Amino acid sequence: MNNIYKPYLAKIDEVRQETPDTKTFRLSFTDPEEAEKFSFKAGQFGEYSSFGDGESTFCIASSPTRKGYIECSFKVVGKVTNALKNKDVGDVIGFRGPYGNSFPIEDMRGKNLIFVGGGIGLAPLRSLIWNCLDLRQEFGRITILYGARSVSDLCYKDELKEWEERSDVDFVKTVDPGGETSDWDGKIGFVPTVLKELAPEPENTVAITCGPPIMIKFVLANLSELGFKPEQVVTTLENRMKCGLGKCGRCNVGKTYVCIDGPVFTARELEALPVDF
Amino acid sequence: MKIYKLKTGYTEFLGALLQKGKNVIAPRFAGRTLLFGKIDKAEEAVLPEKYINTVRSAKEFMFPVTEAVVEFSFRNKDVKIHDAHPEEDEKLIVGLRPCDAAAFTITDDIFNYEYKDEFYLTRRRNAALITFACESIDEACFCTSVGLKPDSIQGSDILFKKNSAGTYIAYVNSEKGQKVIDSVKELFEEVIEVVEDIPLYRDLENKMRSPLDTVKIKEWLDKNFESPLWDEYSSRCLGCGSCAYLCPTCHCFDIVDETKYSQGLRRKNWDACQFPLFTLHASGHNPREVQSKRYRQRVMHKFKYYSDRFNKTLCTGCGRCVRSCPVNLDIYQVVSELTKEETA
Ligand SMILES: Cc1cc2nc3c(=O)[nH]c(=O)nc-3n(C[C@H](O)[C@H](O)[C@H](O)COP(=O)(O)OP(=O)(O)OC[C@H]3O[C@@H](n4cnc5c(N)ncnc54)[C@H](O)[C@@H]3O)c2cc1C
Ligand code: SF4
Ligand code: SF4
Ligand code: FES
Repeated sequence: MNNIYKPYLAKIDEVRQETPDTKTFRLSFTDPEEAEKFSFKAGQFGEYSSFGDGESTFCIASSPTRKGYIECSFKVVGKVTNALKNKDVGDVIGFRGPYGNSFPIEDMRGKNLIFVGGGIGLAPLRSLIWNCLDLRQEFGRITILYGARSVSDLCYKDELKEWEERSDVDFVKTVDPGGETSDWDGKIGFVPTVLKELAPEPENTVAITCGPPIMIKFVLANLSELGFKPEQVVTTLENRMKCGLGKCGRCNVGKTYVCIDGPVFTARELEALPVDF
Repeated sequence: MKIYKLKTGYTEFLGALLQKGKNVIAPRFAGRTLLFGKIDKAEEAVLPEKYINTVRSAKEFMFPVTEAVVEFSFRNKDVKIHDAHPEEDEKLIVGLRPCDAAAFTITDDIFNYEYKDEFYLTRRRNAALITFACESIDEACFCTSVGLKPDSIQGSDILFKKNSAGTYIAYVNSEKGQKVIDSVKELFEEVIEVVEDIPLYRDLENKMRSPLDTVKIKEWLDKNFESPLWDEYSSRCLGCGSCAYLCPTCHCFDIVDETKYSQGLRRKNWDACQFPLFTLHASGHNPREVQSKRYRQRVMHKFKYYSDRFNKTLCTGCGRCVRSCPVNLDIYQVVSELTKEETA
């Protein structure tokens, strides 16, 4: 029987503490045949399980160009994420996926890209960012704007440094007012505000944004003020999920199932959805 | 389509099926509640003329209230998982009403598109639906509003109707149905002449609440996501979820782990969009934070979203949600009144 609810088993090969409440796992499938067959696209997500505790939805945070493993980063907020937090290298968890649509990377070829991320919302962007950087010559200017509540809430600190140092990436980091430390050398201000100061040119550019709902809302408004058309703006929607397969009905927004029609939508597509997310 | 005359009564028909070793599910009393259940003796089943409909629909025979989908065990770093299997035995679901049979043709779409839910589909393949046309209705019934009738055959493998002499006439609607007839052939005689249209069924059809205009309802819903009427009409709703649990077409579920020591099951359990936790994010954000939004979701899903996606109305007019609602919220009445208001 083809059991759509049955996860693959995946071994934790590496654990990184990103922030006080966020961890990254590097995972490899225990069955070599499954590992061989597996492929995904940036923007897709999975259902990760701690057996006995349940499943949780996280994006795949690593790039499809980096083969042999996948990574996920999760913030500890509830039952499953608390159980996952206590897992260590060598432990086995479950993974179902990849699910959902993906970032329209084909349409981004030859264009300038501006990534706007907030907090753990950098996770899905990180998959696409590395995907694009690994194919660097296929894209125009790449700008990354990333912010978090405070300095300690910034994820992927080593990679931020790498982007900062690369000459083929414009990298801007910011923290919310009050979240800075004495040695902070980035900006101080909310992501949407910094975005407006940065004022990226809409010409031949795609903006990709992900973060908490309130940040996305203001980022979309500001991009529109900067002259970006809704077709040029891509974001991911988050809704509570269970099956990830368009069956359980939980992620419905109108006739749309975020789990299979999304999670990636253009701002144009969002306009057509009822405000139910 | 072949047509047969049943030479005996209902009970003898069930008796013959049981004698052939068939697994028969039929309406029978569990305490004072009429429910579908496996019968061992034909006499346990309640005669079709004695009920309007069962309290719970037949959906649980394809989509059980709870079922394991994965089994697992874990001992330190050693984790093992196995498929859980839906039961593969053949079932005859006998004595269901046209609205319940039709419901499966609607929910098939959700379980059978893109990712296939073999738990539902296996049971669906292995069940024959043997329907009996309605002989009475109550004020909750409104199947004629959603394209059905007291003697609709949609979804049935066999539909039984009475002729004016009170004899059951079997309309065979599928190969599965034909196999059932063939297995107890001695009880049936093939009918060649044209069968009369029984006034009883047309009478019931005419007595039913006047048809809803589902096209107009959908047009109103298309435009009125933000209508203040949602608050007004749903202010009584308690969010108890009875409507969704009893509904033959509601199909939302949860996935939950259950463990004992180092063994466990992952289960699919019925859930309902009328519960506040249904959409609550871990962050605390809830897109449907008040009951009026949850009630709107129920009505929208039934009369707009499902037809936007699958071109079908997610309701068969069985009336269960109307009969069971503790505060008498009547979905028929709500949609007819909503669409009367010229707020568009
Ligand atoms: C497409 C998508 C991608 C996501 N990617 C990430 C990511 O990369 N990193 C990250 O930290 N978080 C991500 N989330 C949010 C994450 O799914 C929830 O924070 C997490 O499921 C909470 O689980 P819990 O059991 O610890 O919390 P509880 O509050 O105990 O959750 C109870 C149940 O609700 C579900 N749930 C609760 N909140 C959400 C939510 N916002 N989205 C989906 N399901 C939810 C969980 O599946 C869980 O079964 C993503 C959500 C979606 C929809
Ligand atoms: S049965 Fe009635 S009160 Fe209960 S959730 Fe449904 S509409 Fe609301
Ligand atoms: S919505 Fe109510 S009337 Fe319609 S199928 Fe469901 S329970 Fe029956
Ligand atoms: S998560 Fe189940 S339908 Fe989308």
